[in-house]
Formats: sequence, structure tokens, C-alpha cells
Amino acid sequence: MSLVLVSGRTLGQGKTRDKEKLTEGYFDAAAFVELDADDADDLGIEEGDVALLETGAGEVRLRAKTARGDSSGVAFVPMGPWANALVDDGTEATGMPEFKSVPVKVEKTDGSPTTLDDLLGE
Amino acid sequence: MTICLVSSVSVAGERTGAEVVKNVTCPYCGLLCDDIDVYLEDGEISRIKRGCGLSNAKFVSEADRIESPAVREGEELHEVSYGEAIERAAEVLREAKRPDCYGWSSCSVEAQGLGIELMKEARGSIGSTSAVCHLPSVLAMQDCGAPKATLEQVRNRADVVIYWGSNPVEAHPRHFERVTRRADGYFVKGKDRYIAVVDVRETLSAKISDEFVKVEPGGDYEALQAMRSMLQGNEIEADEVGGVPVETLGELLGRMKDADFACIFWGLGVTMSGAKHRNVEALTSLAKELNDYGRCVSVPMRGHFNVAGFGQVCTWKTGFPGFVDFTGDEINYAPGENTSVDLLRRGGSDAMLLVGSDPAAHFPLRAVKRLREVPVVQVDPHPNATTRFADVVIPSALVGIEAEGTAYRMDTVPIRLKKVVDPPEGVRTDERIIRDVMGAL
Ligand code: SF4
Repeated sequence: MSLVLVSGRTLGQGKTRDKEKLTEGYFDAAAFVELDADDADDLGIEEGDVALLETGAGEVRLRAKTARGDSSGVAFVPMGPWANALVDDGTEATGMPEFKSVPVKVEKTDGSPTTLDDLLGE
Repeated sequence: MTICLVSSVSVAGERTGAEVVKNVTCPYCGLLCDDIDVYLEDGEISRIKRGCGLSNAKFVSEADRIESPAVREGEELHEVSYGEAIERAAEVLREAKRPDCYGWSSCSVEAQGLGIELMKEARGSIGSTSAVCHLPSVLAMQDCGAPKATLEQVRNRADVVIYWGSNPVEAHPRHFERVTRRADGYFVKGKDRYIAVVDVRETLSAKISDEFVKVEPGGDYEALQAMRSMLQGNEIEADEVGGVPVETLGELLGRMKDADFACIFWGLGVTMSGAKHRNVEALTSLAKELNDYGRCVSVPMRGHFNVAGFGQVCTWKTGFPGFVDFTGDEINYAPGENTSVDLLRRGGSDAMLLVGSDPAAHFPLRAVKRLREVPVVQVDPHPNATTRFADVVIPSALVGIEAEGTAYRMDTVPIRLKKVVDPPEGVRTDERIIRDVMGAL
């Protein structure tokens, strides 16, 4: 299913942003995808399943959560390394990469979630 | 600084003496709340009063700190003295043909000013984290201006508030309390304001507002332009624009038109999607045009506590709000060309000095891969993803907690930051570190 990737701030990501950037707390707060309940249903994805997200820039596997409000059409990932693996580095001469409104293919996968080591190659 | 001795009751029930420092400014988000009481026991912060979840995490929780200056040899970082790390940092800048400097939103304006001087000396470029935040707002305001107001004016007067592409409950948690819903002003009570959220998802902020308007991702520009057109008396020949029913846009416009004082707070939902700075131009133009009917202002929801300060300081010093290049005989201001992600993409920078930032987490991964190919000097209080490959790491004090300074709030009002505790033994301030690197250069 094709959705639109939107990355952004959350309270959890914000609380761990400064002081706990290399801890499980930050990883838990930044490494998930939040889907609209109906979209998740259509995709056969339940809370806690692993979803594969793929854009023109890359792919990541993330634990899925379902949104409490209307989030139809949107795959929300907290700002951070996991979201940014899906964002291209082109800025169309604006200086600003496209951190929101990126077309993204989402499907359920049996794979394990992508770690920071996977992303940074260590 | 006001320090009082108060009596407090410890968990065990014994009365203990605690110091309280009143009216401390929170150095976390662009709201810069300046009413925090910080309680100290044995020289350490034990708790704070009036903070939010984010400020509690910043002031009180256990912190991972960079414990010592370090220099990378092979795969490993080796602890060195400040003197050696600073000499190595200066060497990296000296040997580079085109060094780039990035970060600065979590530093004081005093340190930011020194950083700009350093990059002039080093003949490189400098910009702030607004490159991946509100840079489109800066560009739009340069192009077509924006009707602005202080947060106090909004609190006292605004009867209609629109949060467009912004989720203050999670990014600026006390905004509703200090400025809008729960803040009573001279002329308007908080509960009497009409508050709407325009966003692509129904966020927590949308849930507690009077109205949620769902726009499709990237649809902001069309929706805003449709509202401008309707304001000129034109009829829109479509049922929906930007995923929003035209009727809903008309009603929202009507509320703003009828308001005595409307304020549009805009966030990254506007700057980071679709038409980027053109979105902001449409938004601030709409705000301007509404002044033909009542008062309407617009304020960007700036993220880091002093990201706005960098724009101010760089403008005093160079005439431009950042993203300036000192490699030629004249200052070259070219966002989209001098911005760090663009420089990395085309191999335009051959060393990076990072002050209070984590591009490994906040740049697109492709840019991070290129960043790893150049020498990186990192000045930061905390280890982060970038520390994993930085070549020189220099620990710094937390300004606003362990050092004083000045910062600019989201509405560009300057606010003083206090020092409430000492930094870990021997740890230097950003100001001192930048001065030392300049000396070594
Ligand atoms: S809203 Fe922002 S400035 Fe105010 S206490 Fe919370 S984090 Fe600090």
C-alpha cells in the first residue's frame, strides 16, 4: 500500500533527544511507524508487528503502532535516524530536504526491526 | 539570580534545607519559559516546578555526558586534554580548503557570535540547524515579510488562534498554557479563544482544540492560496482544495476575518512539505491581507531554544540570517547552496565543525554517509549518533543550566539564561571552547 511518509516531533523523542541519545529509551521513542487504524487493517498490520517501509531513498523495518486519531494516508515516523533513512538528500536548491510528504510503500514483514547499527554501518 | 532557602520534606520525612532558584529560563524549546523554579540539593538539581515533560527531562533526568575531550585514532576515541583536542580541532580547520560549521541552536548568542568570527578566520561557511527546520520561513519572510507580534500580545489580545502544521502539545508543551487556551490575557480569556489546528494527522493538539482541519500531505499551499483567493471575493470552482472541503476553508477564513485579533502559529508541517518556503509565503501573505479586516499576525513555532538567536546574531554580523560562506573576498549568502546537506551532497565541504547538533540523526542518511568521509569535530555536552564517528570530540557545559547567556524566543524576544549549577569538573563552556580554537587557529 502506498502512503505518505511524515516525520515529526513526539514527546518521547523530545524527552530523550538531548540526554539519552544512545540509549534504548531513545531507540524506542524514535524507531516506530504510526499508522491510521483503518490503513493498518487494510495492510494486515497489527500493533507490534514489523512493517517494511520503502521510499526512493531507502528502506527500514519498524515496529508498527496504530494512531489514536484520524491519520489516514499517513505513515508517521518520529524525526530521527530511522525516518531519515527514507528521506532523500536533495533539497531542490532550498536547503531543506523533504522530511514530510514522501511517497512510501508499506507492507508487513517477518524481518526484525532495523537497528541504529544497521543504519550507521557498525 | 534569586536564590532562596526553603524547607522541604524528604522522602524519609525529615525536613531538609533545599535551595530554590526562581524564574529560571528553560533551555529546551523556542518558547523559553522563564518561570521555572529549580530546586537544588547538595549542589545538584533535585526537581523543578512549573516545567513540562521536556524541561523535566532536560533539568532533572540522569544525563549521558561526554566525559573527556577525545581524538580518534583508527576505530577508537582516545581521551586527551582540552589543549590537545583544541589543537587538533584547529588543525582540522586549518588543513581544510572549505570547512563547514553547523549547529548552534542550543548555544547562547554570545557563543554563536564567536562561532561566526571563527568561521571568518577559517574561511569556511556557517549555518544553524534551522536548515532542517524553519529555513523556509526565513526565506519567505525575506521575500514578502510577515505581520508579527510578541507572545504577550497574542496572549492579551488573540480571540482566534490557528496552529497550522504544528503540534505544540508534543513540541512546545506549555504553549497552550502560557499563550493560548489556558492563558488569560487583559482582553481575552484563554477559554474564550477559538483554536483550530490544521494538520495532516489528528494530533494531540488537534484533539484538545475547538476544530481540526485535515489537510492532505503537501496540500497546504493550495489550501492557503484558495483562502487568499476567497478573501479577494473569488468563488472556488471545486469541492475540495488540498484535501479540505472548500466550505471548511471558507468557514475558517470567516472566523479569521471576523476576529478582533487572529494569530497563525505555523510549524514544520508547513516548512518541510511540498512547496516549503512558498507555503510560508502563502501563509504570511494571507495573514497580511487579513489586516484589511481586523488584526492578524503570524509567528513561527521555532524548535530549539535559541535557533532564532543564530538568525539574529548572523544578521548583525554579516547582514544575512545564516548560511554564509566566507571563502571568497565577499560574504556569499546562498541557502540551498551553502546549506550543509547541499554541501555534503556535492562534496563541497572537506571538514565539519559541529556545535550542539547531531546530523547523524537529523540529516538524510545519504548526507550522513558523505559526512563520514570528512574529518568531523564535535562540540557537545552529550554523546549522540554523530559521536560514533566524530574525529575530535570536545565536551561542553549546558548553557542555561551550567552557564549563563542570552537566547531569542520564537517571537525574537531576547531572554536571559541563568546558571544554576556548576558544570562537571573541568568542563568548559561553548564560548571558551570556540575562543580557544580561534586562538589555536
Ligand atoms: S514548553 Fe518548552 S520552554 Fe517551556 S518548559 Fe517546556 S520545553 Fe521548556
